[in-house]
Amino acid sequence: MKLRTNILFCIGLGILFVPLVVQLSVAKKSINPLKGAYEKTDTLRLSLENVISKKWQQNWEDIFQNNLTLKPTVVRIGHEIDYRLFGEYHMGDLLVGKSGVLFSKSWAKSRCCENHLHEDSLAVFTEKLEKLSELMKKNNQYFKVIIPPSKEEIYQSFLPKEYKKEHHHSDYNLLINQLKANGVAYWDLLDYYQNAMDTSRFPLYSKTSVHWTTYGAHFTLLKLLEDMNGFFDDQLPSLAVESISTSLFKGGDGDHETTLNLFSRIDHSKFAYPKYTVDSSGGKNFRPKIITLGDSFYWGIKSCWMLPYIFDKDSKYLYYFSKVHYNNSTIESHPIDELAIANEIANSDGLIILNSSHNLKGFPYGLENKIDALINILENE
Amino acid sequence: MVFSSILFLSFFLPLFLGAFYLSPKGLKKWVIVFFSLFFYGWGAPIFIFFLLGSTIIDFQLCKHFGKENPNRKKFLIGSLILNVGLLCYFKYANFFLTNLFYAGEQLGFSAISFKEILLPIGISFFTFQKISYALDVYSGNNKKLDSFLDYLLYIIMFPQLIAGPIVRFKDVHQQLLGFSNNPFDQKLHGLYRFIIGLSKKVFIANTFAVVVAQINALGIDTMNSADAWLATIAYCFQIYFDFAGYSDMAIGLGLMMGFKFPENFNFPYLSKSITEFWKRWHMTLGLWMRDYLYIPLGGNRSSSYRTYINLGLVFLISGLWHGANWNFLIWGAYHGCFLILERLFLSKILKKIPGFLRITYTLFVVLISWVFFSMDLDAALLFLEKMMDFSSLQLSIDISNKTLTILIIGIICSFSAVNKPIENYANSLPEKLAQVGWKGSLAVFPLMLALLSMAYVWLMNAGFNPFIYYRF
Repeated sequence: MKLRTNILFCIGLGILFVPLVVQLSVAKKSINPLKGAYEKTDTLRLSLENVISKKWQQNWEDIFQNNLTLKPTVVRIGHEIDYRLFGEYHMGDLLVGKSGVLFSKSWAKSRCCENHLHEDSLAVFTEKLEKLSELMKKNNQYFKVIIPPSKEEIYQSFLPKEYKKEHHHSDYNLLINQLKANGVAYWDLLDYYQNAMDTSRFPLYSKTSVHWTTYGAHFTLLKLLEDMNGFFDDQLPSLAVESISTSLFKGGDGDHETTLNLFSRIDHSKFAYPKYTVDSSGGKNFRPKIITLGDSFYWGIKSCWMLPYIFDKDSKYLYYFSKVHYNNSTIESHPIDELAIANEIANSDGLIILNSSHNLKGFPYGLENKIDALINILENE
Repeated sequence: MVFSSILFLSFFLPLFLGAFYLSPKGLKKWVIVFFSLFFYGWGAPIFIFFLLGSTIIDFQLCKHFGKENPNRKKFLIGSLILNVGLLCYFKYANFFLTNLFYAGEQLGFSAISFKEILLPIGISFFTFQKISYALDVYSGNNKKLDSFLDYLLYIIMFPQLIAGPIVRFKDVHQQLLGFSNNPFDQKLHGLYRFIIGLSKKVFIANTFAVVVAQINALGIDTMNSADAWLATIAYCFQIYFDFAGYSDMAIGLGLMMGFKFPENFNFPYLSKSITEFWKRWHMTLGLWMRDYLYIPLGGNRSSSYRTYINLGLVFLISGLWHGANWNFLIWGAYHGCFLILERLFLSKILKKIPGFLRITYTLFVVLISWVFFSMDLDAALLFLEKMMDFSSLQLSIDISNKTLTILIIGIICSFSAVNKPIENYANSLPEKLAQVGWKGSLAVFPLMLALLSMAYVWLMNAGFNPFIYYRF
């Protein structure tokens, strides 16, 4: 009897060793990493000072908590159980609406109830923006402000009751009013997408993504290209949709769902992924150097993978005016401080500001501090 | 490093158990001491030398307690001064100086600042064990240990080093001496006990803790009466499952090493009086206080008046033992008052009322006491005011289905031994399992495995709420 009990104990003891054995024997690369943005723990140097202050010990506790090879699998098991048994999600800034439609809580709050922009400073900025757009136009530089609707606007009927109310002084309304008042060239794409949602065969915005889909973004890309061709005398290559393949969502088209880190899929809809042909015949081979200041909605446009064919390789995407990304994905992104940004914009072929309607907290993210220098350069050219 | 951390479960525990079972009999004590020192040094590297040094000195002092030594009393006093002095210095000097300087400021003296003294973790527990050794040996109830290794093992054994149970020397004296040839083999039940404790902590205590934190985050000014009551009730169960879970883990670890530590909790929220509560809550502290403070003070052998003074004193000290702050002192005094009141007349009244009303009375008194225990005095008074204004019955926080399920399970577990036969059965379950033998153990094994795996999953998931992307 004692032997049998000891065997059971040894099995139990063996199970305690599993995480350590997995850590030592399974290559971390072979594990599907957890998705989403979260703090990762780097190893702290071993020193007497770090040991005495217990920073080194805390670091190891964090490493075991956050970096174990088993973690992604274990977390997904936990998330799956919570989702299936209790309908619970684990994600930051998540708001679950009717029929399981997922929203960004902060954007939903911006839509209904919160204000972040100050009318006075926004008025000053948009006034300067108008001046900038005029100078750029004079310089034969393209300029456009594009405001795609946030998902919270498109799917507003699915929002929880307390988030549904209209907010006349929302950041979005303030910005539109100021752009209008100062005559800045802008596209508010709300009506366009609201109408298109009713007729589109494929999701333009999905239930489990916070952004528009690749297919949704593709309409803005085509519209933008058409508009730019009008501005640049039809010198840019034109894009035509060759075919549309369909599949379950890929990449960012289910970004909320991906970040939930489940084993199973929630959204089984068919998503559309267009393939394009690029026509640069007949002298249509001008690729303008475009600087885009945008929030994460611009990733949807980049995800069409056509920007390298229509924009110059030096074109830049100033992500929240904080990090610089390139069309050419082989070039590493870097902080914006490493660029003389006013000169960059002044020497470009165009500036696009693209920001979704309810993600305006912090807008224009620092451009307001550079705009005077930019205007100065353009005035002196 | 706490028992419910991934580091402890995935690294320390398997390595310790592996080393312990693979080492020859003669080395097992050394393995425990080595891992215990590592365990303590991990959390308090600068105090490891303090712990070792004070333990060596104390062992040397206690060597002179032999009846033949005419100076034995002086050595006892030396040992007590050393232990109580160090405890007072590290734990109470900040409190004493802060209040002294505050009083000085009120009297018009200029403000004095001082450097705060760091508190060595576990000092309250290992000091009590050292005192227990000194008094048990001095009284002649137990022989002194000849081996310093045995003494070191008794003081620093990691399962009970930093949070108890407080093991009186008399509880483990024979186990320490007979350790190498210990016929007592309950490794598997030790593992089960550890898993049960881990489950109490991870599933129940942590869930109650989230509810408490959510309500506290509202701020006392913002919360309403319903919130305040829920926070108090949730804290009541959080602290129970947290502490009882930790004690179960310590007892389980002890069993895996071949030691049987005393029990620390016995369904305390089923108590029908505060007197009974203290026989069921933190039992090892109660026993320590009884044996080494209450009885030496005279206990209840003198006049009633003297008994009340003794009780009051014991509970004041018990309160201060929990923490150097006024709120702990008041918490102790509050419990002491109810004990005295029950001795005076309350118990006679309580005996006349139905059992569930007595339990309700005890729970109410204990609930209120947790308010003082969990926050400083000013906040506690504001919080009580909020509880008693009954302004709203609408909770300000959402409670998810999962949380609600766990809360209900926790409450059911707390009151499951609602009658004596069930309580007796629950308490004798480990022995019953042992009697059933391996078939009983095998039957429970899948459940234990599931609990361990789920605890691991919960711990790994704790606080993991990624965002889609970083927003600047």
